[in-house]
Amino acid sequence: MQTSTELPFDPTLAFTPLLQTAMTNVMTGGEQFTPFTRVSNIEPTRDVCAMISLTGPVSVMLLFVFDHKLAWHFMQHEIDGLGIDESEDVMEAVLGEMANVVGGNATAALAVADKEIHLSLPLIMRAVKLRPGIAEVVIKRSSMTLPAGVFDFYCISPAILSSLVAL
Amino acid sequence: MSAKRVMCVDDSPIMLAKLQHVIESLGYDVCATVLSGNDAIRRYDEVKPDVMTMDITMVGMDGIETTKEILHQHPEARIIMVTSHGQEQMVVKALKAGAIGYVMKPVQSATLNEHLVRALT
Repeated sequence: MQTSTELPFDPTLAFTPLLQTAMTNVMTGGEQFTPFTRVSNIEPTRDVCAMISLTGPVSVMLLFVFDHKLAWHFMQHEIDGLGIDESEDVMEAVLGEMANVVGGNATAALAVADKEIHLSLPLIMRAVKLRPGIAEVVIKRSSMTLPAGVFDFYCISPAILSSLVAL
Repeated sequence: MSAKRVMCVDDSPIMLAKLQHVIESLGYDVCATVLSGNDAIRRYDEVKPDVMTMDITMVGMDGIETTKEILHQHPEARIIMVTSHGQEQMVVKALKAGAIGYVMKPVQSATLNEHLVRALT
């Protein structure tokens, strides 16, 4: 079984700066940042989940799980001044783009010489409960409590989630 | 002197809006925004931009294939790739396809301007 210490990267080192970059725009005073910890499951379920997978020499699934309030706040910040009307669709597009950027940058952080890492298109899910499909999966979670809501960032390796159960 | 005309291609409406905002703030005219490679190919003749920004990863025809096709039809086209991929391979493919440069997402205004200036000189 692959343990967290055997992973070919340190998720904390690899993803924390990326996560921080992605969330800089919504971070204001009073945030509480907790480094990655290994967890056995993906919970609690929040309102909106952006998912993106990296496959290749390193296989990782990244999950960005938001309270709706925070996701909406993120969307408002991202479209400020762009002349775009606020909507649930726009919010999903913003979250997808965020996952794409963080996932893309993660490919650089995890790049192995001469071996491509493929990035999936981002997938946005609403009101789903995620359950790992295999037992031997390493899940690491980092959480942030921001004034606008709560946000969880999961790194899952290997990137297998075979069960999506609607609430 | 009229502003140089830029056509932006990205399958994310949000990214397109951001690019348009940044590019216009730099003093360029965003003459067209399109959401797919096929639309970019179709509209190039009509728009005839001075320079294009092209997302690499798009649903359907990706930015590399779109770049190849546009350059096949219009060898004079000047195309800057915009990508969130940090992989050398993707960048190399884009440059081999004929792109004249690339910028990484999230796009930084100063970096994009450097590429636009270089593309237009």
